[in-house]
Amino acid sequence: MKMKILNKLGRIAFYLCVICLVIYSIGPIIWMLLSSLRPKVEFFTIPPTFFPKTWTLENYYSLFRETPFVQFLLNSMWVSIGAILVSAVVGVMAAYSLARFNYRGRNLFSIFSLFAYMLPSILLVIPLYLLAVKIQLVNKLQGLVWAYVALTMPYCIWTLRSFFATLPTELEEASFIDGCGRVSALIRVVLPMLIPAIIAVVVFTFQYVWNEYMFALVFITSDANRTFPVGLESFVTSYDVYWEWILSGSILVSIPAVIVFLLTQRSLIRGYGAGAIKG
Amino acid sequence: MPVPNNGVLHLVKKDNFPKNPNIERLAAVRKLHAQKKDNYIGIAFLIPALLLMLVLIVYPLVNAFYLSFHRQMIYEIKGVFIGFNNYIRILKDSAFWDAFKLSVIWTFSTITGQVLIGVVAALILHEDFKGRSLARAFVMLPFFMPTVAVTLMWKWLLNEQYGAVNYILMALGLINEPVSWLGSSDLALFSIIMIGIWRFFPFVTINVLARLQTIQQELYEAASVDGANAWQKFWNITFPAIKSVLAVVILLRSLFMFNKVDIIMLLTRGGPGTSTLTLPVQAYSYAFEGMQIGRGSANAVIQFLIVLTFIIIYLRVTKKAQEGA
Repeated sequence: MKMKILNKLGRIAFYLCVICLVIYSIGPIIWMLLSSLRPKVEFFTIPPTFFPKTWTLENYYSLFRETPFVQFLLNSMWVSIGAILVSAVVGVMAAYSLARFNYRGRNLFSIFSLFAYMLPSILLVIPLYLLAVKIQLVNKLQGLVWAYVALTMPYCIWTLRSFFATLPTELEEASFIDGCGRVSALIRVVLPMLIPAIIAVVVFTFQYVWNEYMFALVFITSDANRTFPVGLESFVTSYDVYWEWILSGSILVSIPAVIVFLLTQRSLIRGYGAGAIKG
Repeated sequence: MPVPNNGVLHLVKKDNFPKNPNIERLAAVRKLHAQKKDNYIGIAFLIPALLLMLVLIVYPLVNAFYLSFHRQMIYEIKGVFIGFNNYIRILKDSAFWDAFKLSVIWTFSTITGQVLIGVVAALILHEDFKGRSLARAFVMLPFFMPTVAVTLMWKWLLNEQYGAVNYILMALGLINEPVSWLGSSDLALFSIIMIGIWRFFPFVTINVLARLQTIQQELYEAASVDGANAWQKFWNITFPAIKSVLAVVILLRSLFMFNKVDIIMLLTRGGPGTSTLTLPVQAYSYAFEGMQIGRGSANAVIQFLIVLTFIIIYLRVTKKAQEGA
């Protein structure tokens, strides 16, 4: 009997721990979400209420109506897609070469990829900015794409190459017998097997580019080409802080990131590509 | 299902495909891989990556070192060679050592907090309970929100006049008057460290959780039969199992935290004053606010040399794990 009560108490204590942990993690996010759904006058009422007194989407409407937020978002998407395409395609080709051929220096190249991934971004931002100035890619989204390729491609190569090493070569060899060339073997036989790693690489690149702030701040000088990390921050001006746009914008840009996370979280925790995020 | 290399887990666990030795006729084909002619095709596949690597990594890297020996403003095309003067000036400057100290404090405290909370969270989320997968998703969220969203969110929560944090603390009677969390030089460092911990603990949780799931349940059952208590089970079974993951996670996180720019820039810009000006933020402000790219580069190079030790250790561990597998 005593044992039973003790067990029950333990269970309650455990659930309390779970609840604390969950509140710690998402409490702040929920508060932001609820704040974004109240009219601006309610922002500054004291004491604040947990739920809005009036629920409204006014902040979201005015974000779309009165700010270039849509432009920021489109720019971010453009840059993400560009960097993902280059990093993934070039990464797959390089990884295939590194894992399936024998030539001198291929191990060195792999290790250098991992090394490049760990370089402090502050070390690269100055020379890359000068390079962008030289080839006139400053304040162009294309320049930002190449900078993001520099930041994400090395890790993509490394991840894909390591994954390649775990794949059997028999299928490819069988396809050679069937008369496939190297290129068609890569496309028809290898790529399908590579899909989990490609997903990991795409998610990594997306998260990185979607988050990136410093390069965007340095490279882009006009509102028209701004990505949202710098764009949202520009709502904090020296005269006023436009919380209504900041809160609603922050919620909106979080949605794609959270969706990508939810789609991949099961495999993340199982171990595919855990840590495939540089953060 | 094979596991793609992921920076952490591959050091611990390695799945191998069973090789099929029966296909003898493939022996001839396998030679293809070693053939010289075929290797040219292989190198051709590498060329795009090689070019991009040269233009986007190697050249900038060399240029960063080159710039660090010059006095050059950001709008100048060519700088003046001044040898080690940038380095000497930086190392003699107390501002550098202040920034260094801040970087060490920032890295050490955020890592400690992340690991403590991250491991506890992983242990909790590893238990079986109702709503576990939902709880798991919630707990991972701080790490997957965009940086700018979480930093602006914390600015909102920590706002001196109408922030929720001040309100709650005052309601609980823990403070008497509103506190300026990010705006006072005494508290700004503490605040960004707390935010750093909140943001990055899920990284530890993900990696530890993945490892926990590979521990055989029988071990715990056997320990229960032997009458071990929860603490003994943790210390003798769980901890040895997650030790190596933790080591790698701490190494990686130290590297990333030390190099962290965005979260600090967005929250405080290194201020107020220089109270949160860590090394990378200082390098940024020299290069892009002070426009002295020579000096900024020298700062960045010094920072690179500091983290190089971590990088080399990590590369070694990784190489060993790859060869050992």
